[in-house]
Amino acid sequence: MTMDYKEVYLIVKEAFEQAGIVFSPDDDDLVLSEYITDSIQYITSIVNIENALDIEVPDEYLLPERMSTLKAFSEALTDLMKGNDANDDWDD
Amino acid sequence: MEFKYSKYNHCITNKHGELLIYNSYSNSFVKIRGDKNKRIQESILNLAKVSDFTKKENDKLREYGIIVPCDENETVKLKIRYQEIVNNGCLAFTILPTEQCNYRCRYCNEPFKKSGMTKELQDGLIKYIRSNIHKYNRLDVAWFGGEPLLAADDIEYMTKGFLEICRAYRIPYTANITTNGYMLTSEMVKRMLKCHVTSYQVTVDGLEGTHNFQKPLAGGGDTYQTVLHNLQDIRDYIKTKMIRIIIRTNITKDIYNQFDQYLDFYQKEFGQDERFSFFFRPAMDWGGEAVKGISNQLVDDKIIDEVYKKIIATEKLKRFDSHRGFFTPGGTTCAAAKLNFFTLEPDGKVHKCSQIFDDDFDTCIGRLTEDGNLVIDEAKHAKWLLERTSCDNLDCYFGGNCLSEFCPKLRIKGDLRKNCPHEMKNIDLVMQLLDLDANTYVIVDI
Repeated sequence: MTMDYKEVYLIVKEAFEQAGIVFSPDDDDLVLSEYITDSIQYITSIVNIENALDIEVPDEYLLPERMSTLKAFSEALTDLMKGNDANDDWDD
Repeated sequence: MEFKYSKYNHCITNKHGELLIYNSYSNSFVKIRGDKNKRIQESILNLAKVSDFTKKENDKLREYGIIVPCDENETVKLKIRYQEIVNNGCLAFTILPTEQCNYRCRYCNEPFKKSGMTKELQDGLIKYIRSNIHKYNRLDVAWFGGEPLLAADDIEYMTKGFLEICRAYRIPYTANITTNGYMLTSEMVKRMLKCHVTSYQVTVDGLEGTHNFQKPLAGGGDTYQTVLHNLQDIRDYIKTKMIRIIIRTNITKDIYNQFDQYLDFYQKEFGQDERFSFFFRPAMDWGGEAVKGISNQLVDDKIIDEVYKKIIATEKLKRFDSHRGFFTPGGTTCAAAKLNFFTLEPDGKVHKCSQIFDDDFDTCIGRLTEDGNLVIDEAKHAKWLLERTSCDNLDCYFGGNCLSEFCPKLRIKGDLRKNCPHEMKNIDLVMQLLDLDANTYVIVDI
């Protein structure tokens, strides 16, 4: 599945919000650690993201440096999906 | 301000000479290592005067609830915990989408009389949740049975409704499943992940011989190789880190006699994948007729102690998520004691307790209707709620966890034997078991 960064960002943001994480509308680059305080919301969010993007998020993408902000996380996932697409093309 | 030791501490020394402390109120697991902190270790173990600690030591111990202000009444403080546990803001269901099962386990007490839920009743449940979810901050579902994967289509149908509701209300939805694993292929796991099932308890009773004896197919036939192959496929082909697979083993004498081989085998197969953990219980007489055929195989807690000792000595298994899960505030308090927890049968009968197949005791408290009403006998419902009267020892160190009531069913039945949770009966060994997971204890260097 190919998506650009903006599409991924909106899906990821919605996935968090669906799990009950309410983001401040004025924050341009949301620092995720300030919003994710509950492990249940965190797991629900990641499952939402994996289902919506049809991917499995590897461990290294859940580390603080990749999940520091919503923007950084969305960029990482966009790159992940591009990498997955390239692998799929290679397999074909 | 002066301080005292919390009455909710339990302390042991592990085989490395490290002090392990569990506090059942603050839910702290603290490790104080001997190399730097011998004096502190000995002070805590011997309950030396708290006033002898330095300010830095005081602050650290207070941070984890190991010491509390002298004027604090910990028994009264537990009342707040009681309220938080009984009415925790979460709507929770254990749903039996079918009572049918493709197995006939030797210790199972289920009669397998009822099949699936009708579409009308499934819609009724969705309607009930839609009408009531505004009162809650979370929805939890446990899929049970029978074998719930026999009704996988119904799980998907109901989950679609639950997710739409939770997303609209912006609240988390979590689900787990108890399954024999026979149908738990990678494809099935992918279907269940779409249903937000992130925790899977699969019973594997030892190695091939004991498992096939204890858990045959209905109509006869072996099950072990299929289940093992499914678990291996999950390990190798399901990459998400969001799932947990709990391998439960109901220990019998034969399983215990092969336990060294068990440890070798399962360490090799699943010991390196952090998503897999292990959970042990004695196979017991849970009622029904089938278990009478293996009465000579049943074990008591002494054998479970020996199981834990072997694991601790060999360190071959390291993750015990279910055992760890009991060590949360109110962790050993039965779900049935909570206000907004219900067990739902395929025909719409509603219970509190999920152990519903008790010939001597009717656990039914009401019914779900097709138009989405939960018709509950509130007098029956009220009997199940946490009363803190099952145990008269309000000074017990485990009180912050069990809230003095492990099993409301025993209280309602009038069984007044002191009945402490499994984890407390073997607490010293369980604390050492959990120590095998490097993530359990906070290492405190003072």
